[in-house]
Amino acid sequence: MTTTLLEVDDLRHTYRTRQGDQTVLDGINFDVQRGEFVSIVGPSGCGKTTLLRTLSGLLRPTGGTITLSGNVITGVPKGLAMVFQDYRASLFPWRRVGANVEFPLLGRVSKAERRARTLESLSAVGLADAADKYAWQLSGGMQQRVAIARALAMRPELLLMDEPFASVDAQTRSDLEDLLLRVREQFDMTILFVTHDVDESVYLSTRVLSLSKAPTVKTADVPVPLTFPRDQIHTRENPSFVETRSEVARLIRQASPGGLAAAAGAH
Amino acid sequence: MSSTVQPNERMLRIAVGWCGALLLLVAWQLATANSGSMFFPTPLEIFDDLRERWFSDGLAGGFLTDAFFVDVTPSLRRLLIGLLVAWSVGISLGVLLGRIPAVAHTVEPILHFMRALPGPVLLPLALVLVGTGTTMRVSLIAFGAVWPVLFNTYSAVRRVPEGYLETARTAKVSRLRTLFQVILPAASTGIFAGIRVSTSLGIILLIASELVAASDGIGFGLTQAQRSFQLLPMVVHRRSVAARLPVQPRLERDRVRRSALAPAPDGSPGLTTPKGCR
Repeated sequence: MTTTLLEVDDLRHTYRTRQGDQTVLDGINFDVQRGEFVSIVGPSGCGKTTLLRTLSGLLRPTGGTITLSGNVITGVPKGLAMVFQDYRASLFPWRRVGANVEFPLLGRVSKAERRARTLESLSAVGLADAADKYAWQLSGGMQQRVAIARALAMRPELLLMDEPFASVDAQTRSDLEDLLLRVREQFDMTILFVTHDVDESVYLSTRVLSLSKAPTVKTADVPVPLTFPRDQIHTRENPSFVETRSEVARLIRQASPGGLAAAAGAH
Repeated sequence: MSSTVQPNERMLRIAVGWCGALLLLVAWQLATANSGSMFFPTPLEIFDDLRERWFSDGLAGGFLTDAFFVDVTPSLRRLLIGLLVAWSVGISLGVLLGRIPAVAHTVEPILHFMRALPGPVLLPLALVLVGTGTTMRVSLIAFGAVWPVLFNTYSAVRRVPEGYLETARTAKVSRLRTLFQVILPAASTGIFAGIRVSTSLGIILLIASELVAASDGIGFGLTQAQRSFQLLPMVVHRRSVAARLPVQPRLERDRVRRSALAPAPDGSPGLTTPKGCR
């Protein structure tokens, strides 16, 4: 049995610039059920980031509604956590790793509870030993794990991730993908994951949404017929994986004729 | 990735720093010892005079002489109050300007105009308006020293990475907490750079204000010595001013080590150059 966690209805956003109005989101509709892992892919510059910013309440859309757990979003909603692409601009260099993870809980839960949650989240990402270090003493992949731990500490119902693995190397990337699937299981979260990497979207998700280039609409909604747990080698050689991957890549190429889409689908 | 400085490496750096100062003193001593000119006292003579003048009293008074309380403490008090006023006004106003663009656009031209007035030039005006008391000296210091703090805070607050603020917003952290635990720490390097510059400015203004219509303080002592052609005390007073300067970098060093050595998120080097140096 599934229940709807997130409903996006006719979402529109237009940036007013000096060069005139620029419509980025042109009526987007989709639902996310509790427990799903939904990836959003699309050609570069298609408004994926704008979409996430409206969903997280950081940006007020110029039209349409977003409903999270039955409440229409007007500001930053409760029960939501966000992991940004640039971990260096989101972890505070003057706070130690543990204090960074604890930060969103300050003034909200008791000290003992904060301690417990910080430890639990850091252990979940395998960084329990790094609590007393500064983030900038860690590698890029580890820093992004700290950012994930901070999101976990908030115990979100919905985790939004904006190309979180785009700035780490390939090996670290697959490690982080598996780690994400593990903690998703452990913390029972619904995840909405923006990426430009088709393979990654299929590998991680239960469903992939593909967007057109701006003005952006949803072009397809592709269920991923793969079971969990997934494995970097076996899953990726599974015929269903290859088939779904090709389908998504084709959709993106159609959405954006020219070289850019081919490049996005190539790796 | 930068790593923390090893303790023994730090000790070595400090030792090297002191060696430089010591070498200079030795050179000074050697150069002046045989000069015989009264215009160039040796450092040892200066040190001796300084000790006798201010630190030669009995154990009961903590060695401090009466002259110390006439020459030094009034000055220190004025400086401290003046700087505290400058820092609190500068930081508060800087944050306000940095966070609310509308305020910045309205007030900035006036502030730049006011900042262009050199502090010592305001001395005659301050004498007429505020009188010759401590209030005049304190307000002169505060007025002159507020600018570097204000403009450094302003620009540092404006440059707080958007990612930090969005992190705080998506975590639903209150505005007050965001101010004290995100904006101020993120801007601290710039703020401390401003504080450092303002301290030197404050000392200059302190002495300048005490040269006029004062009855105590370092500047007053300097004038007295000059008028009675006492060269050694003059030098001593001047040195005592200079001796305070090396203390300030200590203030910010710790902060800088914590936040600025970490690469700034926009890829720019973390250290900020002090603005408003004149």
